[in-house]
Amino acid sequence: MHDDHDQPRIGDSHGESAPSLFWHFLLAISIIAALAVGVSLVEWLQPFSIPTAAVVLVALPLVAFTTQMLVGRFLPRKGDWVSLSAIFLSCVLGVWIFFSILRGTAPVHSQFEWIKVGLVSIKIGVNIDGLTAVMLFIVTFIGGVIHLYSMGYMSGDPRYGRFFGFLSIFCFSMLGLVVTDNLLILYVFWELVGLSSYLLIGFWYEKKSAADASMKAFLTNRVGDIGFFMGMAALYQWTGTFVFSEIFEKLPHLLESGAISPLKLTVAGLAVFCGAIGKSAQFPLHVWLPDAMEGPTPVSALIHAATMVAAGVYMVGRLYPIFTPEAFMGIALIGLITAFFAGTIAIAQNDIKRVLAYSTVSQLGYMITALGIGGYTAGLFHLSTHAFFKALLFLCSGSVIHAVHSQDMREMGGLWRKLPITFTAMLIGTLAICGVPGTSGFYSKDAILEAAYEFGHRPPLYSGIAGTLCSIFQHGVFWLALIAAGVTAFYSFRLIWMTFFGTPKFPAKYARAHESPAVMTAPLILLSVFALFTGLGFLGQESSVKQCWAQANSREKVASEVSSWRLGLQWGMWYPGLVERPRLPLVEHYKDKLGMRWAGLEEDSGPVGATELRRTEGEAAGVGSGHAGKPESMPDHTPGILAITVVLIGFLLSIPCFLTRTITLESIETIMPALGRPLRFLHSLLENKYYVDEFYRLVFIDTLLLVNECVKWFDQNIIDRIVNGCAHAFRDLTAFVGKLDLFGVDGLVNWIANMALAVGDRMRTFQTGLVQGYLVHSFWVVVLALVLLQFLAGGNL
Amino acid sequence: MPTLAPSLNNCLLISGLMFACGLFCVLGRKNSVSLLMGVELILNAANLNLVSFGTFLYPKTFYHGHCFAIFVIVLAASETAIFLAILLSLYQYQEKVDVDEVHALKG
Repeated sequence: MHDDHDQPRIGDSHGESAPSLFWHFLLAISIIAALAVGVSLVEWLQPFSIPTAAVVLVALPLVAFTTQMLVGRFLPRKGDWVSLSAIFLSCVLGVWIFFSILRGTAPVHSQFEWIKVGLVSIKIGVNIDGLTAVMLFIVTFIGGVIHLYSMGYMSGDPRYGRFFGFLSIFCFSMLGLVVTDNLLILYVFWELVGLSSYLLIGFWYEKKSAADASMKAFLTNRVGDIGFFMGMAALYQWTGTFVFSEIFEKLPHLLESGAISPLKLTVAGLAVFCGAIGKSAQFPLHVWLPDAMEGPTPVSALIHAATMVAAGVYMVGRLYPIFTPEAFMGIALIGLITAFFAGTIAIAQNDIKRVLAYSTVSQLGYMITALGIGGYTAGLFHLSTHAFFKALLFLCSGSVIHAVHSQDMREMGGLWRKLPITFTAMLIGTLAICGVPGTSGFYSKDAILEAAYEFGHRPPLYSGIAGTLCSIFQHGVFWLALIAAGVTAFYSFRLIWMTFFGTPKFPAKYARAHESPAVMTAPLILLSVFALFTGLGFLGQESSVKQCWAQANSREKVASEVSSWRLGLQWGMWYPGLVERPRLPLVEHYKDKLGMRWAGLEEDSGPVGATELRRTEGEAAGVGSGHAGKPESMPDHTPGILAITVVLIGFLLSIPCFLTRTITLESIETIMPALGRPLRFLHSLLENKYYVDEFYRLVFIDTLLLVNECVKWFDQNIIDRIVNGCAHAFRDLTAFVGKLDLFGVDGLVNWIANMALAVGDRMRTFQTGLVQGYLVHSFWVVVLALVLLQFLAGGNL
Repeated sequence: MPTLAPSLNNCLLISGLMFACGLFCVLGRKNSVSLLMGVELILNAANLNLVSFGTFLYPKTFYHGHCFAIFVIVLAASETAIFLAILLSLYQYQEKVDVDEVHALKG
């Protein structure tokens, strides 16, 4: 409480009109200067080694956090510039690392021994490959943008400085998670991410709902983390190492030699995936993410775009080679359920942030599905593009909330006149999330759909009935993913219509609404640019990207994600060259053993785009040219065209439902009364999120309370009795021992003492004190002694 | 047949008589000066024993007995000096020198 009273006063002393202007000016100058320094740093850093840069990049936000926590209160502007400059410098380093890797620097892996106990040696290190570089860039860039935005959004909050400190540690945890080469350290940062999210979701802890939400997020994540931990322990048990590359190397040998069965590996893989279920809010554990909307909006943006939920998907991508085909099936199933299920919930929500939250859950399901069906590059590419447009959407919703002071979309409407910049940015974000051609979302989502399409045409893993089911599932993935894409368009445009169009529901609120300050709109504009163009790649890098891409092809066949990008522009292909699928020796092992063609690993299902590209480059790679003549394996753009159609249908359907309001529940009821009841039921089902929370309350919490009661009874009536019985028995025993002590031991001791006393009493009578008495005694003693000696010596004395 | 000529037996006899007298004096008299005199008698009886054994058993060869007797005389002299000092302070303390009055060391 002391802080709350203290801080505004400190702020006030600086916060009057003239100094405030001065500080703003200083801030602007410092940002410009830092920008200039940063740009020059990129060139200047060339001799600087990548691992060092990565460590500095990770450490900077930690330094900012420490500074903020220790002296932040005494700094001007409560120290927000410390966090901002730290993340900005990190971003500069991130950009540098990203371009170094993009230009073809080989992946860097440097490590040192950390703990050595006996034969156990734990190494830690830094691992920078394409995936890490992309993640570093995304986290630092989006993190930086959100820092900037928070300066506007959180201004005037009593714990303004602390908020920036927490943002810093959130970024630190995520960056650490991304650069590590090691499962153990990944787990440490994984938990740190959980802690940071707990701190930020419950940032306004005076609100009970916020405090509850943070607790819920933390506990739900723990459920998944138990699985992750067990999987990690199993992997360590088998391979004796935590380092990713070593695990990947050893597992196939262990499988080959029969040291571990495929079933065990599958279970371990799924256990590890449990961690991702918790962190990335997949189906059974997705409940925390919508509740996490209680946190400030920049935090929601950070959680949904760059840090928390990305961690789960990143982890699955990083540990990709440990999964067996069965484990991949499980992953795909979970992802698919999540994508579809969360998408439908989003339709019936009225809270603007909750709609976005369910949309995130749905998109995460997409990514996980993609990873599960072997679309490694597609899934991770969607993670990258999604980060930009979801951050954009959240920051826009924050801007709307800032203007209207409400999160309920039913209280909004017609805002596009009042908030032109926010509206434009949000429209761009919505177009991107729907996957409208040209935006980044189109490339990534279509990549996933193509991977799914290709997956459906793969031979099933099993034969017989299991094989039929498997085959049905494989085809189902594509169609469900397609429907989910349509649903995405439907709810996204519902949000746009309800918020920005129609008539204002609350004229008073509408009148007061105003566009946000520049510090908030600038991030929106920046992110809009990225949301539009991330899919296209980077101009001017074309040749080196092509080279990367050729290298990637020569090593491993990437699935068919490419062809849809060929609908776009050639230089949209920076990503697959950067993040290529690792070898999957476990899956290859299956292929050998079962004779199954699985996971698109076969040479002959090589991607069309790749082969064509290779041909245009004059067989530069020179590898796999034997398959170059089979471009017909994936000739059609069916998935892409279908996706665009479905999105269009979703968009068109949303117009009468939510813009013109010609189709509503009531209108359907009047036309077709038979449909009314099921529709109402469906609506309440969706509005209540399929009653998952209620189900959990019933099954877990109530059962737990019941078990609790039983345990309480057991405790009171059985355990307590046993304990009391023991206590009584022990008391009797001690009483007996006490008696024994009193009469036995003490008796003996006292008897000896009494004897000594009695003997002494007798003896004292000799001590008369008279010299002559003593002499008489000694005389007689001498006589006695002489007589005795006489006897003993036998008369010889 | 006992004769009065100096022989070992005669000497031991005289010594035994002296010891008996001394012992009687030590045990029977009340006056502590007499007590001292009795002690002297006992010591001198012992001296006579030592000298006579030395003279008659090892004539003119060993003088251990004589030496020992001289030690005892020295010892007796010092003992007498201490005894007399105790006696004087005792007299100053209680105006009497009777030993049966002195029993403060009683246990």
